[in-house]
Amino acid sequence: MFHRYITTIVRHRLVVIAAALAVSAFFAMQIGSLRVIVDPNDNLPQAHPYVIATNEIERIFGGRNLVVIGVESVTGDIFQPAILAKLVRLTDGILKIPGVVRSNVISLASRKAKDIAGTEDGMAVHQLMEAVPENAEEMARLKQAVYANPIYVDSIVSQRGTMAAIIADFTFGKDLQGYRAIKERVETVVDPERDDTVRIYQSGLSINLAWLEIYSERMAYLFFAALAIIMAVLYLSFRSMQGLLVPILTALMSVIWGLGVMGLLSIPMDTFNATTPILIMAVAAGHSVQILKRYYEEYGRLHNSEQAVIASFTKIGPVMVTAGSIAVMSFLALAAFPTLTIRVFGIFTAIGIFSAMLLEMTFIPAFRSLLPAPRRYETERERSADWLDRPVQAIAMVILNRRWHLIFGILAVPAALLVLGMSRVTVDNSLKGNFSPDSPVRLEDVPLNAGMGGTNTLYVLIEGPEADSIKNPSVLYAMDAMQTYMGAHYDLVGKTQSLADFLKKMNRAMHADDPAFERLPESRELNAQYLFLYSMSGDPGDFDTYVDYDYRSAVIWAYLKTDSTAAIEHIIGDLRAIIPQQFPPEYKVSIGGGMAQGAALNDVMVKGKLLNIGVIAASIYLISSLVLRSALAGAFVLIPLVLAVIANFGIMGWTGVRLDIGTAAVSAMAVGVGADYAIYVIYRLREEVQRYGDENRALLVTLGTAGKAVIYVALAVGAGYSVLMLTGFGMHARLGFLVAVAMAVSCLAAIVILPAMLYASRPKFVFIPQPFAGNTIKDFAAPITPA
Amino acid sequence: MANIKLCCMWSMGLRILLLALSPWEAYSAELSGHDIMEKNFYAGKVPHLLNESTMTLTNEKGQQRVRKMRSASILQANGIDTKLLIRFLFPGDVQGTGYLQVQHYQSDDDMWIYLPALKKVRRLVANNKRDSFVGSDFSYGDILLPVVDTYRHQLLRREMIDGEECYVVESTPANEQIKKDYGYSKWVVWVRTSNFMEKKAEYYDGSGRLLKTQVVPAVKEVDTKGHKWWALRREVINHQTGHRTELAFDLLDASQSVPDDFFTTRYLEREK
Repeated sequence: MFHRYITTIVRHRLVVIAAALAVSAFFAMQIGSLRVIVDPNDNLPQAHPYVIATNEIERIFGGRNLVVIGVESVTGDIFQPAILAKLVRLTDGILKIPGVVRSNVISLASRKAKDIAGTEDGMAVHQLMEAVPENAEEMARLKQAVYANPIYVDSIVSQRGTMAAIIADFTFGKDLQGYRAIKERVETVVDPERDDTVRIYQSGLSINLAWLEIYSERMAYLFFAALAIIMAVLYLSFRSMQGLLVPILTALMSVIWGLGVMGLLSIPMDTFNATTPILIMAVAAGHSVQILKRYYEEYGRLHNSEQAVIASFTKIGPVMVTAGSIAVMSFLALAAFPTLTIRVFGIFTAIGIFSAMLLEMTFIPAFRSLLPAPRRYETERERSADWLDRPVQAIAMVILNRRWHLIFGILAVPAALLVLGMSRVTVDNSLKGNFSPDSPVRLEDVPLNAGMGGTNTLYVLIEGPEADSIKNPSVLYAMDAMQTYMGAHYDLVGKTQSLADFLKKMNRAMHADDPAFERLPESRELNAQYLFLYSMSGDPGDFDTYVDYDYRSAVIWAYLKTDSTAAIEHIIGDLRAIIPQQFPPEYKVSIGGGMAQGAALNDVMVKGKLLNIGVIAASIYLISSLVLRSALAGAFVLIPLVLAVIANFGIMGWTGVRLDIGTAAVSAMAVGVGADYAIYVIYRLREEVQRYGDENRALLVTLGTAGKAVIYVALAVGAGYSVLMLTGFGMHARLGFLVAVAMAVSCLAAIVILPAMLYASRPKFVFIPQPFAGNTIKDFAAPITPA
Repeated sequence: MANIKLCCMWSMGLRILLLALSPWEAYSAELSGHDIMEKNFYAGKVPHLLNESTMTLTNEKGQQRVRKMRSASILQANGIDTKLLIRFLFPGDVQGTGYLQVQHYQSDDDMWIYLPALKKVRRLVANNKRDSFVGSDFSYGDILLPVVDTYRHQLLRREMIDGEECYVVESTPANEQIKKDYGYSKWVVWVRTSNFMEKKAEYYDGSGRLLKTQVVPAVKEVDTKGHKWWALRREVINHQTGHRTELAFDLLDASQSVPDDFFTTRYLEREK
């Protein structure tokens, strides 16, 4: 059947090529309509308690897309007219950006930054800085006022006075879409203020996510860099234009088809999937190399390009279809995942691999039959021994001599070490940790983070049973206690703020500024009356950031010095333990905010990725067992990929690379590619065993053909990925390194360990010929007369 | 009465002065912008008034806070400044809270607050005319209007609004300091031709953007002898924050005179 099919394809090659090119052009046009999701909220597990709390906070208190702008004085403190004037212009500029949550913008220059001062006969509430002080006396008064209101110290002015900050918050809408837009808008406000007198820093979740988008877009360039390296390695492997062109053409067209179908079906792409095209390219090139290798083999035998195309395809087509189908189905299984990005990953990869299969069955054979026949020296070189033959033969000899202690003994040591290393892997996501120390993200964030309370936010949301619940003194005491606890126990918590701070300050002010009264009032009425009093002199929105309109819900803001999810989960864990001791039972206390969302994402994405590795592995096992009609066969197919995953985790454990969203993705890739290696090796071995009955020769031929192809592919993909190590983005650099490791390990496993285990255990699905069901396998298994 | 006469003379003098300064307006058959605003200013200067009011604050999301209060006010001897005492009745946890304001049009007003939970009167040093009046969208300057000369007024046109004919007057600050103090680059007011009470006003912020719109749907002549009017309802929306305030007056009584010692901190402490 395959023979007839491929003969038809070759006969109508021009039609096939034209059709494939037309389809490619069509899909290429569809890429334009590809929707790219930039809001990671779409990827957040909406049922996660941290995400629920954050959504609630957003509903009550405004946006969650924080930007922190720091203005550091180069000469002395920021209490200089010129610097304060900058602060005023910056604040005004930020307030004019569409989508800004005006009530959540605070700086020394903002109207809601009020000085609550006590005097002998009462309380005075003034805007901290209504106008830039014009003389030394006014300046001294401003300085005194700022430090008399501790709520502002380390939030909008640093303890030492050398830095001031503007904290702003945005919501997305018609006029403001995506983090890049926020960053660009903020820059237009900030850039004119840069000069020799100040250093201006920008940070906060929005800015960092904007950088993530920018780095993810660089994947497009990296994709082509990887492509160039893969091409170079393929050229070195085959030493022919065809060896370079055909796999790359397959890979590129598969990626175009994959992206095109995504665009056509309106499946959104996201930044986490920026590396997926490289995976598709790797898998597609892998299949192509196997077929090409076989083509050269057959051409060397038949000396006719067209016949060689037909012969090679007839033999290897079914294997490719089997391996491809296994991969497609395994990745498609991920479509059932609740997390959008994993669904996209699964669907996109499945479409890409399916496209590669389709192209290998249509366009590529038609195209290859059109190409000039390989020149004589090409095929000769192909058939003659190259640098790989010696090591490959040595491997075969070790296996054939049944030197199991050598193979498994040598293997046991690193394997044990790697398994030990796996136990040392820590799960931790740090968005900023992904950027190198000399990247703009870190250069801006590090001084800002050090100078102020911190650029990472964690919120504690307190929801009372009814309106005015927050005025309950015991709740305010509990909020204060939480703040004191956080401040005392964690160096990482640089600042906390809540309504309790204002009430303490007002109590003191109403008692003639007596420091003994800097404590929370004891009655609900007094709390209510202080808040009312404040509302009479302040603006209606002054407390919007801290308490909701009917005083049912309040929030404690904590500014953190780190965005490491491991550190944050530790803090959250402690807080959750003390919450029930502090708050009355009828109050609901939950934790949210940018950092808690990161923790939620960490939780779900890492678990999700690990689970999806499990799902893919299970599907591969099931499908390959079914196809090879042996429950054992599936286990053998899994060997290279299981070893690659162990190696990855083991090396991560020993090198201190943390398991995060990026590194978890590597394993999923290793699984996808590793299965193909095993399938090509197993099928070829079986073919050779059945053809000659000579097991020794079968192994030598298998390793010399399919085995070498595996090495070429692993080299090409590993080298292609290692280009990522050159980027300044940690997530991508680690991805490059770990994929290279995964390729090396799965390749070695496929050509050494897998055959060794097969020869050691002699499973029936390889060594005893049996009838196969279905045309596919029958064609493939039909005895072929040696030339 | 003597006070009122005095103030009328004062305003007459002012008008004569203005007529001299701007002869082209003097010969116009129509009232000038300044004349209209002056009539508007005095139309609401009730000598003494008792009332209860409900203030409903609504934020952008439609959440509401309701406050009920009882107020007493008298016009001071200069005929311009007012003394105002407010006692809050609702919500319960602020019941008894008192507020006393003694206006000084040429300097900062005196403000005191009494908190029953603290049992103390405290002076409240709030900022200036542009600040929020008891946490609403009205500024102190919107509630207790500045003297007419604070702004330059220009009559733009006459216009019908909801069946009432109005003068449309545009007022711009007389100088930069006033613009800063009151926070408006200009305001446009629709003054009823029938009684000189405002019908509607639009306020523009320092940078010229529309900040607030106030509407006064219904007014009542509370002092028929002196032809003094009071708004029954005022609504204002802040276009920039989406926050709105409705102030509805009830039990208006301009007949009872209110003793001056009502407006003292001692009285404030009485919690009634």
